[in-house]
Amino acid sequence: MNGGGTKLSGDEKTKVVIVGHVDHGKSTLIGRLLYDSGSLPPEKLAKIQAKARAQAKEVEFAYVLDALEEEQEQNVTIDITQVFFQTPKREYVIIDAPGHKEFIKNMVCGAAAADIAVLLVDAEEGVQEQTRRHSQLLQLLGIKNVLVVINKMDLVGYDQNRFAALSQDVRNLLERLDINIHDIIPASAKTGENVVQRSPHLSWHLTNTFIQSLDSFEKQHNTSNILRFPIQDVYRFDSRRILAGKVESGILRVGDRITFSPSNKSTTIKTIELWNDTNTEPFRHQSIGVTLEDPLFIERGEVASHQDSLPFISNKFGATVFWMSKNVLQKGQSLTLKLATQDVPCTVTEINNVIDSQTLEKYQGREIINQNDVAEITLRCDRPIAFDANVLATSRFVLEHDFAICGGGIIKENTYPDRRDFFQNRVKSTNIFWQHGEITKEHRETLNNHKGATIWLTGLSGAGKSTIAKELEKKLHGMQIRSYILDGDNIRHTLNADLGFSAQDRVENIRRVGHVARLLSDAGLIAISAFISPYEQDRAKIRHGSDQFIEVHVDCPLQVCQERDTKGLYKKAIAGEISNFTGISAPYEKPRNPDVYVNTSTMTVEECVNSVMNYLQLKGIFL
Amino acid sequence: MDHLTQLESESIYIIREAYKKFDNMAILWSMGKDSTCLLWLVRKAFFGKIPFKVLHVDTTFKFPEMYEFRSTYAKEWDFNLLLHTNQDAIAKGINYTNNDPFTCCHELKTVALQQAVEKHKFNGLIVGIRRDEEGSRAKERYFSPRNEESKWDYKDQPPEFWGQFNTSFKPGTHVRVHPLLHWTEVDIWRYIERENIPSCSLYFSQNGKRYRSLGCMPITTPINSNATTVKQIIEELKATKETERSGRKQDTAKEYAMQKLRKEGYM
Repeated sequence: MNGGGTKLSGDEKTKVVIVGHVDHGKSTLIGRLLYDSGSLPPEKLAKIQAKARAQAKEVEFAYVLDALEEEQEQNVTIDITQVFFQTPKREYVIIDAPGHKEFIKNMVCGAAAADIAVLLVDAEEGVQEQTRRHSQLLQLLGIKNVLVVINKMDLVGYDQNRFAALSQDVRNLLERLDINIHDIIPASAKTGENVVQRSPHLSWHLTNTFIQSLDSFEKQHNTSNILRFPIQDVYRFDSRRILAGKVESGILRVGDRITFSPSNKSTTIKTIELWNDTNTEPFRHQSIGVTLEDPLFIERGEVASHQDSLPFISNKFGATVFWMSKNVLQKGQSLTLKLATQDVPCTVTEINNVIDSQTLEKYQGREIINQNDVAEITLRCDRPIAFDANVLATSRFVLEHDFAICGGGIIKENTYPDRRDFFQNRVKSTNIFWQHGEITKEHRETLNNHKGATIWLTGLSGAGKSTIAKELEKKLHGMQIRSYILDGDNIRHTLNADLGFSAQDRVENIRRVGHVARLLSDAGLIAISAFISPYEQDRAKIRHGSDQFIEVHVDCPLQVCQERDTKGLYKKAIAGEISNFTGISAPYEKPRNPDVYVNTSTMTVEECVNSVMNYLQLKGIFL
Repeated sequence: MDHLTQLESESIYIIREAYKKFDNMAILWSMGKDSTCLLWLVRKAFFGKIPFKVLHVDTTFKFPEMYEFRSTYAKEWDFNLLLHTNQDAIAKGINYTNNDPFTCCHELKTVALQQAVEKHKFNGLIVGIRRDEEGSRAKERYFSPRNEESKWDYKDQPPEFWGQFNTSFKPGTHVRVHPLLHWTEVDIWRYIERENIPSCSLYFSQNGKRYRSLGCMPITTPINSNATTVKQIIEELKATKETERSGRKQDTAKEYAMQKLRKEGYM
């Protein structure tokens, strides 16, 4: 290693973040690296030596990074600094990681960009709270490789057994977190042993020094081939309408057929626009501009993808988040979610569990998330957004509150319905038009002497939807009003026999039923549907496609439904025999603005039916 | 993707974020290598256009070569150049003969910049500072808010990660945007070489001396160098251990001078 530099290639630098418990030697290691490599500018070295002399103590390598006077006063690193050094093999940038709890946001900041993390463990103290906390954050941030340094070996007499025991502790910790250990090195940063130079005291460690081990790490590139091109802005500086953005993953070419999500508009890439650049095929991650074949109205936030690999679209999903603000995060709190170039107001609807950094155990039933906590939560956005579960740029988001980024999170797989089939060639035949006969809905309504409508009963299993539907039908029939019940179980025996209960199948189930209801109401009948229909977005879609859509929320506390358990399903769901059961292992999104609200735990069936009848009359469905 | 293209793409992304966010923005141009590089990146981001104002805070003590460079490229690149000088300070006779560098920098740059921000009501300023230049700049964020008095609270900065920046701010703050924060001095020269970006003649050796960093004439000293081309400058930088701003007096005038200057609103 040398500071003068023999290799200054065009390669990008390897980013290293150094983490570990307070006083386990992070800054000292960095100082030592710079000192031993000759990477310290002479005036900085002179400054450090002068300072040490003035305080009549040894050169403290940690001073190297302490550019701010407050830091030196407190002897604690306040903020991330980036320090550059190189070995004959390659260039590095070290992101210093602070050791104080309240500075964890800075560590997160630095670590989010790192290729490899160096985890320091004090040979005397062993694994401590922040060793665990930092390791857990590394996992969350997707940093998969860790080089472990058992530091301060001089303080334990270079004891090989102590090293072996600590190595095992660290392995136990990191393996639980599914983090790959690149190497474990015994060293002393303070005395410079086994950092850059070998030490006779550590001759029993036959393999690499710290720096040799770091050099032997092979960087892994994110090579997702799935195209994600989030639109950052739209420019009209001249006759061209240029969509600007950064290709976050995959490759984009002229002539590619693309779909924008969440708006679901498709077109073809006409040109790729760059200035003073001869590149015709942009690199991955390059900031570019494009023009489109069709004059679509596209705004910031849309994500362009190839049609065979669209992102998910939902307004609700589960996520693992870390919270960095001094102000706690509470259930029901509103924030701004920023994912790729999408900014959307969102609400924390559930705090499913909070992970304790000490034990890594999950605790349920907490209503707040404190600073530095990691938690699994459910978020509801004010409108659907496009995202992925496995593409970095579109699965990670930040949360903004009160003019500051307060936390970050990663969307959890299978916590949202997959509606991509809707958008992906759903209408397989084009050039088909909706045919209107000469006899219209109005003619049929005149003949029937009442209007057609869809009464959409939604609620938990056991809430009483089918009971109400049957009573409602009887009542309507008695008044010579033509109606027909669409029952969940019946439809699943026939039209939807091919569907299961996964989130995706539920979406499709409701889509088909919604369409049948629409046909019936267009035929002049009153269609009564009794389906759980847990997703707000799907109900909204059916409402959107219908003339007279009456949403009835059949509410009943989950506990009461469980006690009723008319079909014995809750028992099975709790026992784990049925998966994806609404209310137990799958979400139910209550209607925020139903046309009719009934609560079967406080109202009789008669009262519920009357509420619906009154509303029908009010809306002039019948006279 | 090579290192320079990656740096370029990240900077362009930040510049575009800033343009989307701030409706009244300016880029600070000192005619130095960094801010000239930054202007070039702005042209890249907007396909040859510079869609906001270019502001030079003129201390009136710059080198003639810098003024010449300014007029040449303001014309050639066809942008809207604003000049601002702290006329009160000049009238009071503030200069490098009578005052120390700290006072001059404060009056002629920091205060002058505040005046310009106030006068034009800028809510965003694009500034070409880099983390590797100087200790306190290493603490900066890409989007760094300044309060109504232009002050920088470096201890309470929101984090930036995963390519997301703080882009919502309290009313009354103006925001410094730093698209070059992650570049090093050598990166800048390599990019100048690759893109063929013009640089002020003072950077190149004349009579065994060249300027590595440009500032006000009375407090900026050249280094010993025979580098007359960009390529030679890159070679020279690879071998040196001197810091880039060692020829800039305001940095060493007082202990933690730069941090104090910057806390008050210096670039």
